[in-house]
Amino acid sequence: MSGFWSLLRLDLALLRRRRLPRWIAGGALGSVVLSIAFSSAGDGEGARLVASALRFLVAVIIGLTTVLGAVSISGDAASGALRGVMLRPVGRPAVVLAHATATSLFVMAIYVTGLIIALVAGSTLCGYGDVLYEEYVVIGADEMAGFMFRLVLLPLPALLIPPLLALCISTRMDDGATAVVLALVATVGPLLFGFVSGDVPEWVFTERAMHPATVLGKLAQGYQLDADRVDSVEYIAACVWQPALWLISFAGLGILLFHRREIHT
Amino acid sequence: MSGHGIRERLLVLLVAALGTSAIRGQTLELIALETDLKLPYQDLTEADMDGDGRKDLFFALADPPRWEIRLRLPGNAGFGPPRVIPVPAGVAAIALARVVPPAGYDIVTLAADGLAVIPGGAGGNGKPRPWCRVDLLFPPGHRGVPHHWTWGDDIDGDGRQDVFVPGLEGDLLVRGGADGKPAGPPERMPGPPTRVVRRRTGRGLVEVRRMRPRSELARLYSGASVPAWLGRDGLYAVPRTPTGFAAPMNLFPLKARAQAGLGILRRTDVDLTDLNGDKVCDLVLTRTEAKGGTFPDRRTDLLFFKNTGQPARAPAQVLLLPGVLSSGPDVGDVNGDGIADLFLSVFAGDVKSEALRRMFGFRVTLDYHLYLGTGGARAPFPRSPTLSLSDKVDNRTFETWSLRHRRVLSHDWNGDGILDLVDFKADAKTCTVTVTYGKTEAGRYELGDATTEFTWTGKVTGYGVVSMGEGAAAARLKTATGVVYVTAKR
Repeated sequence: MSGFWSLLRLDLALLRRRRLPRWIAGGALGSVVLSIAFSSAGDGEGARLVASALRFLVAVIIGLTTVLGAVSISGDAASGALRGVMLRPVGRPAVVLAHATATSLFVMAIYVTGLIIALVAGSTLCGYGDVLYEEYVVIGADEMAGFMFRLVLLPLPALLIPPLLALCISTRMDDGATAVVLALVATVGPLLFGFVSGDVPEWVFTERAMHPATVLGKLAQGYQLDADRVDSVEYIAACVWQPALWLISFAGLGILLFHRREIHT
Repeated sequence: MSGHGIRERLLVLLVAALGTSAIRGQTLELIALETDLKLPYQDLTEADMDGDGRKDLFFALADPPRWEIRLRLPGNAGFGPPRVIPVPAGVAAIALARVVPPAGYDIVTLAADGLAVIPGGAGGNGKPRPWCRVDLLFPPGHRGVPHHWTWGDDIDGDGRQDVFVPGLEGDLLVRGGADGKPAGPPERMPGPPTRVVRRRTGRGLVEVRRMRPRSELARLYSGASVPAWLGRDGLYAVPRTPTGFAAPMNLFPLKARAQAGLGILRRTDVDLTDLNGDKVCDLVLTRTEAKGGTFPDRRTDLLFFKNTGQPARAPAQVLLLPGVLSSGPDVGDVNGDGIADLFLSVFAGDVKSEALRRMFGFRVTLDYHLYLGTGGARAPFPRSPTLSLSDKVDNRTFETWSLRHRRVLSHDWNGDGILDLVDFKADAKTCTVTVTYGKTEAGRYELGDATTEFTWTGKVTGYGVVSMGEGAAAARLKTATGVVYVTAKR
């Protein structure tokens, strides 16, 4: 773990300076703005607007941050920067963990920013009212606010997995393009399959990220099928410990793969 | 009465009591009671024709048109030889009703010029005897071997079964009498108004079509069936009074919803059932419709209206479900607490899932939801299902209505007062019936680990669960030429 903090500072600085992270952040936040612009939510239907924006945001983050993770170490290797890093007194696990931490912080920053934009837009453009069926109140505004508070935060742990999975692949690849393709297959594949068939098990990380946003959308339309379940401690806990297991697994695998890799310094 | 007789009767009672307690709450041994007619049949109805408390089989067959009654034999011996009744000329349909003493269902034939009755038990000679002279009118598409039209029911509240038949101008009540003859002439019941539809044809002529919507018998109060119909502005019922029937009453006023966009895909069903155990039937209104957009979402709305004797203008609860209602809503006491519970199934039915099913052969997911009744003063059911089950069926099974619903929660198989789940699994050569016993844990309904399985060898064309008598649930497997009942060994 030697040199972790210096590497983290370096990675964060690179994230700020490089063009790819900027494009990724711009693309993700742009998708939020687009989904708000094309939303059909009416007066009092702010929760619907937030839910549709979140679904876009989650899908885009999964796709784009996968690319970021896939080019991290493989990109450094291709540019020769990795050799320079390895000449410094740093441990190999620190290299992987620094990349993983920097990317995770980046994902969190994008998600929270997109969420704030969606919440503010929902409040100003629509407002948060009761969910109605004709004149009958299906879900009260207060209860809906409680659902929204929980459900908008629950995708976050699972959103950290795609870049880490991609990072794991990049630890063995010198070719960035190959790493990107392989990582996209592993992350966007289940996402697309879930979009098309709606048949992905919930413990798969893409579905774990999409499900809270999907349920929020359903609740905002008055469908209360999952209301009791997402209200339970078990669901909230599963949204945390399952992604945590994925994260630990990929981090460990990444460190292991990078440890065995030959780097000519 | 001799002492020997009393001892014999006590012994019989003891054996019966032991037999019952051996079944109650236990896992069962399943057996198959099979009947093969060796040729296709048009219709099958289970009814207790001989009055022994167990249901017999009533088949309708073509070429030549005839009915066959197969009486249930004692014990586990299955069904007896057929009693063949040729279809009299001019008969359009039949009603099964208890109109001729002693007990047991009789066959009431419905023809354009009146009703005749054929006693259902073994004693009759199979010849119809005129029962009531009345002019009847059947829908234009009603043809084929005369099969089951309606059941007899106590409509006027005198404790005897009556028959509700489609008269020329309106639906008619034929009251059953004590001597096996009608008690008076048929009485015309209030019904939905006649609608006249005018349409201009290609040559400038106006086509005028007079349509007479029919009413249905609905159990408005527990044990009391009255005519009811769904109008554009609500559900009308004909309340019973001490001297007869009152004028129709719009018991549940419903808003007439404007047709718009893809509203033609809308379907509305109503069920009258007691939701809160007050012996008065409440209204369950089910709407399935497509909702807006280029790729419309399908949605099912369940509205529950409490019956207070006064027009109910607002629903007590609304449940919105994504997708199309496939089975149900079945309301019954699932967990044995005396409060009505709700069981239904839905499937997505939207453009995406239809495209995947038709183009790529994706299996269709049927979601079964159980809502345990709350018994609360306001909402009769919780907002989310207490138990959800899922089943994936292939394209062929999905498209065959009689095979689509492989999970049935409608009967108590082991007599513990809690309904048990029946799963069907059929292929080209076998059909396996699995009974999973329900249990309650801290007031919650759960499916236990104990199951009983039975595999019948042969190809089935449909399946379901029926009652073959008091406390005798059976899985009915229909084949092309017969029927098999998988039931508990007694």
